[in-house]
Amino acid sequence: MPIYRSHVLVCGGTGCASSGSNEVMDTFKEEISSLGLEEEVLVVPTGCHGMCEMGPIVVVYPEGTFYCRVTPEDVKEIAEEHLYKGRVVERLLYQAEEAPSIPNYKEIPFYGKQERVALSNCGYINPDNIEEYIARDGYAGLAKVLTEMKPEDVIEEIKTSGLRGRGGGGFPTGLKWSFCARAQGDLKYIICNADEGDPGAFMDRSILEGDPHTVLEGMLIGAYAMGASEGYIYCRAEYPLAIKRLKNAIKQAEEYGLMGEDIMGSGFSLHLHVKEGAGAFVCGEETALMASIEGRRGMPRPRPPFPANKGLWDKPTNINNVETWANVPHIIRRGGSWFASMGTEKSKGTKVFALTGKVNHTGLVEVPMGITLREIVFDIGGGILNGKKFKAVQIGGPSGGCLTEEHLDLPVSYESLAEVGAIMGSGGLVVMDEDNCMIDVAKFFLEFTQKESCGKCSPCREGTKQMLLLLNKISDGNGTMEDLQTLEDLARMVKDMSLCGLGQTAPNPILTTLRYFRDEYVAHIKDKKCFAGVCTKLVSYTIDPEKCKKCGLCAKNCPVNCISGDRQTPYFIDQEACIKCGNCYEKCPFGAIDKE
Amino acid sequence: MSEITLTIDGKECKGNAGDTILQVAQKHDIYIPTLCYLEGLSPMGSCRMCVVEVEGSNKLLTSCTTPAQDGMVVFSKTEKLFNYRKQILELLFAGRNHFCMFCSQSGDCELQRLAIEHGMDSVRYPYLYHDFDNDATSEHLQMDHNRCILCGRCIRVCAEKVGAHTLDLEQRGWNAKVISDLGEMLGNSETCVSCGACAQVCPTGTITLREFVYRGRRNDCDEVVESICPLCSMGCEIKGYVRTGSLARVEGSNLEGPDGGQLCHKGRWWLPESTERERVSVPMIREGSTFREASWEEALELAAGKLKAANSKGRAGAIVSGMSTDEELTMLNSVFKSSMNMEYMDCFSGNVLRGFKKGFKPFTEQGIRPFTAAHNILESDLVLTLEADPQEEAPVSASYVRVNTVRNGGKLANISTGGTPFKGITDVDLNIGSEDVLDLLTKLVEAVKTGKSETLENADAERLAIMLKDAEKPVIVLGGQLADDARKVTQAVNLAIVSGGTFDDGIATVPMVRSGNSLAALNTVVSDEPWVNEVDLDCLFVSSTGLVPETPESLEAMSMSRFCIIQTPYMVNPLVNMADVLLPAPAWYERSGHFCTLEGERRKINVLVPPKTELKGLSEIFGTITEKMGLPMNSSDVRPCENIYTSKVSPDKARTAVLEEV
Amino acid sequence: MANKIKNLSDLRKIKESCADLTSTRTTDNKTIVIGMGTCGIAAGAREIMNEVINELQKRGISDVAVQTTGCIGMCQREPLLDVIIPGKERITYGNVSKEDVQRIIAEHVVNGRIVQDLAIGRAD
Repeated sequence: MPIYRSHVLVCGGTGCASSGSNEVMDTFKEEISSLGLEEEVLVVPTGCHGMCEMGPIVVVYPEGTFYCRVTPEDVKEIAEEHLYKGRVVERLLYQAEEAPSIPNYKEIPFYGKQERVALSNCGYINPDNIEEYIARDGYAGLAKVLTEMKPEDVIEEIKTSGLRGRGGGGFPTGLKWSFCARAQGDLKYIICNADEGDPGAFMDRSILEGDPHTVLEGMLIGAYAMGASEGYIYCRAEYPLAIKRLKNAIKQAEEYGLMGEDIMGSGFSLHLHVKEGAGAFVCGEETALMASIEGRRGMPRPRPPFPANKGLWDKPTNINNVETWANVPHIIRRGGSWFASMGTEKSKGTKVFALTGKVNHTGLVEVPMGITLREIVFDIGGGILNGKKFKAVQIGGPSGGCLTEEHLDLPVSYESLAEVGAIMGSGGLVVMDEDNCMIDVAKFFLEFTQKESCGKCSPCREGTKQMLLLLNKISDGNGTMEDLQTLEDLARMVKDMSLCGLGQTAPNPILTTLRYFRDEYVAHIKDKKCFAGVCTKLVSYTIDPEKCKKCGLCAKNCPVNCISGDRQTPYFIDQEACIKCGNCYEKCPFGAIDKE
Repeated sequence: MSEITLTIDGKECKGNAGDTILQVAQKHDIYIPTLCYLEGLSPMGSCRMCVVEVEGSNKLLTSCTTPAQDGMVVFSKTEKLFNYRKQILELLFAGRNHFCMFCSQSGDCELQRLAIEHGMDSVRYPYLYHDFDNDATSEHLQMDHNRCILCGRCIRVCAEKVGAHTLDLEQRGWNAKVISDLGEMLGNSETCVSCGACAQVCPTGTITLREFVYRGRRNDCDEVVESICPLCSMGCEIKGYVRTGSLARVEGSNLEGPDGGQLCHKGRWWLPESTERERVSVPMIREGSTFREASWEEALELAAGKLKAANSKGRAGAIVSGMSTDEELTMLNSVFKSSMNMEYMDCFSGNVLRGFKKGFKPFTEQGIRPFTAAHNILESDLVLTLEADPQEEAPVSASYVRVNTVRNGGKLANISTGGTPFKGITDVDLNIGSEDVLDLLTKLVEAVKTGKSETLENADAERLAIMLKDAEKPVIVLGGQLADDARKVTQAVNLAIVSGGTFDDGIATVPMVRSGNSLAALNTVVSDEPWVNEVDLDCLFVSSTGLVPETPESLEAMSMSRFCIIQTPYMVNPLVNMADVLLPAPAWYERSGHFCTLEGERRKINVLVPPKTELKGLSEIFGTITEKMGLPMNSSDVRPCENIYTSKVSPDKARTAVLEEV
Repeated sequence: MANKIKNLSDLRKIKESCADLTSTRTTDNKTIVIGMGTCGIAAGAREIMNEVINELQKRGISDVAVQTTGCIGMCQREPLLDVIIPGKERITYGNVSKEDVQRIIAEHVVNGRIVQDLAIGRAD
């Protein structure tokens, strides 16, 4: 086997791919070839490194040099200078504001506080090559389980680790596995929920694209522990790359005898199928997901009975999220106690978060439980964009709640979040600054859940619609205090009475923003003002006659022709006629229009 | 079944393990509001009305789906729940167009009733009037989606009981709508069998029966009488809603039974219509081309005279309806057979019944009932339809076939001479010439018995033979057409026996015998040999219910006979025109008696509307006639249902019959 | 092409044979740095690098990183070769010839003994 002295890892995750990383990779291959380095330098496509804002990302080993925002035009320089002559290309290194550039992966603050367990292989290996996975101890967990451990032992190890469901529920995984293991039945199923539907969440996607084998290994270990022999990975169709990688990974695992009949001569068999979702957020709910696999309309059903006893095709079934499965091989290899050594008393291990919003460094991070929000937002995230003021963090996506400044030193864990009315959810973190309107944020999430409601139960189907209408009414400046009361009552009812998690958590953004930002609601209602300047109907635009250069661009772009003026007279907006679309504000090249 | 005890609203309640909280509550007359729940259908838990608080759980649980557990403490009427339910009701009223003022269901609507119960005097949400269409494309059913609360009852009954699965939801959330097939209007549906089950279960005025919608709401009716439908041998249990002497509406009853309280389109629409038709009210005697009214005395005197004269020469005959009751048939048998010793006695569908009677004989002689209760189709793992069209012949049995095939995972095979009764869900379909049926059946019997299928030249037939052999509980549906040759019937029963098709009550066949009491007629008034249109008769007595048009053969026989006494309730042509003496008869809803049904039970038909004029039943008429004829009215020694319904020998000991015996 | 993994030892064999696939991707290994500036290349650094790679391959050593670097100024001593062992001093060898490569790898990289007659500098 030829030894390459240098590996060039080009990120092939969806984020970087859409920024052109595939062209970058092709160009590298061309340049390396033309420099005669094909025998020495290996170009490797990898999964997501997490720092997606800086993509396309290229990491060169053995130095561990971290290049950001690489374009195909940059490749020639990297090849000649770094690969051939060994001189790092400074201008492409990671550079924080007014700070020296950092060449090495490990030293970048974004990565400094992270503890990558589920993501440990993402960015390091070629996800399409099972041998690279094996080289990094892949399938050693499975081998250990099949040769040294009984199913009960495996479940004990998971219980010791304290692993909790990473899809949002936070249910102790070991306990969940024991239910399914205990269930009577000749045929049992395991399912991986890869229907990641939270808008802006891409934790599962990165794991599936970057390290599909870790999920497969986790499922193999789980199937052995629970006595399952068939499994499904339900992956949303909007992730075609993940589906491709999964199918390829399953095929390779089967070729290597690590999946299928009589694995490693142990007598244990597992067959996995990939089932594509078809565009419904509600199919991320476990019973709706199972209905979808069965070919029926994806609608949830009441529980009991629980899937562990009566799940897919009425057989005992265990469903876990992608990230949960991804942690399992590590726990088996390094021990449950190792996993439990990280985190807090009741929330063990690490969690992957999708850090987005108004921070300097958006992307995917994996941190030990118990880390504070402050560390995530400011140390890892690099603080608020453009030096603005921190306002809130929305955690848990459309099912979650918001946390404010007073919670910045809260250690992130399931219990601590529940205490303040929020949930961990699947790990979406949206950071907001002073320019975000909390009513607008609640509206954004509610628009999503209202559209995705399956329609089966009345509270969710009708309630989300009416709640959204009320929010719109308030943000348009037509709300009354009575409306606020109606909204709150309705939100509580929908939360308590809905059939499934979608409806039960859809009111959370409303309830938490009401809890912590009630004064904003009141301002919208009583003062008819949106101080963040977001709710268009509550914003007024006026032209500063001093700054106006009379170019007339605003008037030309006004859809209702409410701006008057000419070459001699400063332009003037008729406030009565103004529909607050903001077009003039956007178009004015001189910043002569004030928005308040 | 182990017993459990729980507390509901402070009351101690006992139930069985496996009962839901709602079932236990209802057993103890504890009221919990429901909307989407309907007994007999699988619970959905979607309307959220039946939600209860359970001690120890911080989640609210739907009592219709949650299994009751020993020691549970349940609260169903807390203030919180009351307020939540009210909010949901208000949301429903605000969402679509629930304008009660011109809804035919107002006053009889479950949504309205719940709103009133919860003191809903206003709606705090803006009325959104989400605009849906009003589907009036079906001839009989109207679906106004603006009134729909998406309870899913119609979808469930159509899928779980009727098996057609015509209805389901399209789109999601706020835009979810009940559609037919893959997005069709109800009238354009290819799968809808127009049985009206959806209208029966709809709690609001969304799905209504167009003809009956303003005839009277359930609450307006004077009486609700339980009876059965006489039109076919299924004998479906019905509830007749009577209002001012008319049958305003007919619904299926016994929702927990195997058919889930469904009716077919004939039962749903023909029966109520029958109270509105023109009646024969007094006896009439023909004078030339018209009739004159006569007294009963005169009419019966004339009839008796003609019958006696014809009978003395052996030229009297009688054709009787298969929808007569057991009691009437027994009486007629005793009069015609034992008192009059009349040879020529038959039923309207005599040829079919004769074929079945002859074909079944080798097995009835073994003391074994040659058929099983129709609902056992639901227990089968393979159903074979033989020259049958169940949707036409006994429609609810077709529902059983559909449900068993589509939902229970049973297999379906068909042998027919033209067309497939269950398109799209049949696993093996053999369409052959009518002359080949007997041959194929014989070969199949051999193939299943020996395990060798070489004689079957057809790959599908071979597959069928294997399926029959492997089936644990096959059921064969015998179409009426099969009975045109009794040997085919015998061979079909043979096939059932060799395939292991027996149930506790009889051999696993279901004969499509049509008229409501054909099974009893088979035993009482069906002659051994056909004679209609083959003999020269001086006097023919015809008793018809007037519900089904007469066959050409029987009309021919009536016109050929020199004298015709016709007893019928309705002024139907051409029947009435054949009469020389026309006697009024009680209509089906004015009679009471028993029917032998395909469901394996003897069921009672009850008087729904008492007769308005003086009517004489068959017993009274023949009492007078026999008296006038000077004949004794002997009691019949034929007991129709007993004969038919008991296997004296266990069915699994049935022996196949050799064809020469027939 | 793929051999089915039938037991634990099969898995280990594959892991070992693939170890080099990913072993390069860590920064904690022992490192050999070869000067690849213009002077280095002119002095034959590329041949030295090939020799290093061949020697490592011959010996089946996969946990040693081979890096290149630019000109460090001691142009007259090119080809230059540094050996970095984590936790130890960084040793620079000068005027390295193809024959020296074998010695440096055998004695210093594998056994930890500095080849004194070739070393020209040390740094922490």
